[in-house]
Amino acid sequence: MRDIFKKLNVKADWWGLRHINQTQTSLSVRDEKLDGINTGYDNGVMAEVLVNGQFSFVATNDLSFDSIQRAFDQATEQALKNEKWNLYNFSMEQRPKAVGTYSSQVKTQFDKSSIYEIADNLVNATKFMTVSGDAQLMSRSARTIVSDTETLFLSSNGSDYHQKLTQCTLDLGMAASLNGDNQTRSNGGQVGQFGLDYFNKDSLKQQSIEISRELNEILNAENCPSDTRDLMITPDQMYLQVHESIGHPLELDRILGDERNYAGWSFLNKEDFGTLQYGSELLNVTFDPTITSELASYDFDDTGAKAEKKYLIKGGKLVAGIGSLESQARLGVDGVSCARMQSWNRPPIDRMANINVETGTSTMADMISATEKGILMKANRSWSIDDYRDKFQFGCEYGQLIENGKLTKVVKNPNYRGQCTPFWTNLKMLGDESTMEVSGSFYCGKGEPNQVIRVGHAVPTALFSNIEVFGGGK
Amino acid sequence: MSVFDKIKKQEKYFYSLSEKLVAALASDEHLTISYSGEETQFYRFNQSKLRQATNVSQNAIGLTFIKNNRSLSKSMNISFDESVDLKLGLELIADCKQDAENLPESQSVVLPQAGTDSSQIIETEAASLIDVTTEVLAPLQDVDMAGIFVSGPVSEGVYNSKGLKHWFTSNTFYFDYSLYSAKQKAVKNCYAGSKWDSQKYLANIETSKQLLTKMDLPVVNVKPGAHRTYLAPGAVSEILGTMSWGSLSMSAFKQGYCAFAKLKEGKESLSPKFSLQENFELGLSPKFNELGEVRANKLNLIENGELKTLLVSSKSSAEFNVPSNQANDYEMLGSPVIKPGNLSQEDVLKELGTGLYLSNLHYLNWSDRMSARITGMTRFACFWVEDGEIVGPIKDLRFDESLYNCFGSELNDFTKESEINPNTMTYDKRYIGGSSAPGALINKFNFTL
Repeated sequence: MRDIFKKLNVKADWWGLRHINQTQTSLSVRDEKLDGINTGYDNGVMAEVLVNGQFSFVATNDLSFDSIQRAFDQATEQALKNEKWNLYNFSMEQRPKAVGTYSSQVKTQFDKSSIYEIADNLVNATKFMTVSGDAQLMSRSARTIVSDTETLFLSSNGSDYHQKLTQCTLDLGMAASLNGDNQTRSNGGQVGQFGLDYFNKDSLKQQSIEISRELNEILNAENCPSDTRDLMITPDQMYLQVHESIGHPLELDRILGDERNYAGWSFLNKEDFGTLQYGSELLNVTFDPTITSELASYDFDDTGAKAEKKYLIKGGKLVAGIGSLESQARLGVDGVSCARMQSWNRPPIDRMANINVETGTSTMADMISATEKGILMKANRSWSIDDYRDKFQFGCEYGQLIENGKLTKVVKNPNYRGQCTPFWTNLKMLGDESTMEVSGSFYCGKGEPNQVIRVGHAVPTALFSNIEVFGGGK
Repeated sequence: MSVFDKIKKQEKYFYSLSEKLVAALASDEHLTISYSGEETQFYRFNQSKLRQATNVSQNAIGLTFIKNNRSLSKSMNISFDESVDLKLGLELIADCKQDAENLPESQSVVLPQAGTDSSQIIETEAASLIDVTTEVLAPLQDVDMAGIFVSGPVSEGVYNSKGLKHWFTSNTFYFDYSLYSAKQKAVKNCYAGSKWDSQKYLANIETSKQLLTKMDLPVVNVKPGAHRTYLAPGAVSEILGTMSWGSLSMSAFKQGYCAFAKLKEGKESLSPKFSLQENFELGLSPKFNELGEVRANKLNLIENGELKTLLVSSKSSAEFNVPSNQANDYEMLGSPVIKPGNLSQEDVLKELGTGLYLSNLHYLNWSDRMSARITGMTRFACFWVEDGEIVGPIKDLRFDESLYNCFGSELNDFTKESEINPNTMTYDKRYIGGSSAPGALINKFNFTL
């Protein structure tokens, strides 16, 4: 690809070529048998030019020289044809030179036969999913995605950046029925940059036994009460709370209105940066590309901006946004290196990467003993938030009441709802390092044309006061 | 060469490449090959200006290989250069053979079947003859618009080791947009078709501009609670989209995740006024599925409130021993149509009386799947109405309501008129198809925040 790039004849102020080659295997096991396996090889290039202040994109999976030259010609023509309608006059400042390499630091690399070992271990894991008493087992499933994405970025101002990311998911789940009511329990969905060692047979077995135990508990539990009480959420729910009610509202392209027709915009304004108290003083949120096992750790974003750790919220105050060099120039607000593209066939837009909450000082026991009337909720099962990213509602798989400083009754169908800044202002205690987990989402959707992106969230357990909670039913 | 001449060549190439891949099979091996391709022009807009222009040309094939009671899939891009594509394709077939020796047994396998070939290339000019940005943007310079214009041909094909061939190409466009008032209130609309018509486009945006003037009325702060509510066709389509996720799937039912499980078991019911069918006569998507099976023109799923059948793929059919209705692999709705009712569109405000008029809903999700309960938000042009007159736009509300209520005991009626909603999803690739839904008047709809 470097040879092709050198030979290109491009009549633009700047040009860049991004070659992305992804191999991804999705494997699903159910009830001790293979439910599906697909290995996809996706290989293509995005030709990008800057002409008279406008970036223009043409993507193709034909990797011949003639095809790539045609893509650049077409991108240049596309920019010139639409010049008069340009929204903003961009410059090369939004495409800095990026040189280097980055590779996921996984313990045990995958090879072609690894998937056979993983398949056997997942089949074995489903054998240990059980229910007791009169409960009827409906399904036992184990799924994974193993993804290798290799990216080469070359540009006319000297960028030569190579990146190889190994990103995986691991989902264990089961469903059962008792007295006409179906309940589900999972391992909360694990994601990260990890290797073959993560699919350890004993660890999978242990997780299956644990979710079986908790599924049996919720099958026999009462419905979650409807009232206002303190809420403690573990990282397998906290990550999505952060994602939806901190990550998305802070995206600068939402504030600029790019997303208004699809994903929506934000309740935040430009003036809120540096002034708005977003949450309690316990709340410190970072953009952090340095945790190697987290999904979105990288050195440069897809425009060549260097990725470095940065505070977005410090002591509860909003200090910076999730915005690329393009959005920072347009809005005049400080941002991070977050211009990301799903693959070779989509242009870069503002995306979360690793958006993390720094740990506090409380243990789980501290938080439970400090709660007179509360509820613990684990593992997300439902989520929804408005287009300004303000009014949200979440449901979880497993709930347990906290009464007079002790965990008591398990409850099923636990849900809660609230609004962003009041909710984060009610953050009462934050878990220490022992409660922290590296989590995230493999499928964050946004953009027109639509794109999904992989997002990391390293978060601790957290306790909030006075939250509206409720149960299930018609 | 015209775009359609190029597509006809691509169709021939796909069959030729497929035949060569099938030739690499042993007698006990089976293969189904699917094709998807597009040449798409995207223009993304904000503030009635061009934010990003992107052109995407992508072509890929998927191989589903069966041997020894193992079913596995591979996919790869193709560039229509046989020296490149055939080499990679044969490498994947070799990998499939090895995988089938080393992977666990599959839940079920569906062997390829012979059948009647089909080829449908809908040769329309779409928006290829116009200067898109000028045509779209010039009439919108007096208003703040955000949206996306998408056009170009999309093709799907299937070939299997029994020699079955299918091909479908459509060439359509859509302009999916929203307009914003100075108070940041918005209306949403879409202009879609297979041939650009300037007059129809201008009429479409004029309707939106007129509606936008109503958004400047003082905002009404409606308290949560149960309200009489009219869901316009766009809002009903959003609910229909969520219903597609597991509520009508046989596999989901058997695995314990089906939102309409209680409807299937006869423990819950829907209104006799609610009927839902798959109707491929809408003509927006091919009748064949990814296995090359041809679906019936019409399939009644829910008739007068009673569940007639769930969606059953051949995979589920083989596993659970129930008849297949050739549903796609995920058992999602392919071309759903809700039967219209008796309420005239003209009478909607009068029949609503006092309550909420909701044009669109946003971010729907199951809040309690077993109770068929959905939560979501109001979005875009949503109004408070008193005595049949619009009072003003509302501050957004969250709802949380069971389908057994809103399309069951609390369903007043559907409108006589329906709207077709084209599928505008573009994750990974452009999706085709769409749905048809009327508006719905609900006696009580539950709002929570």
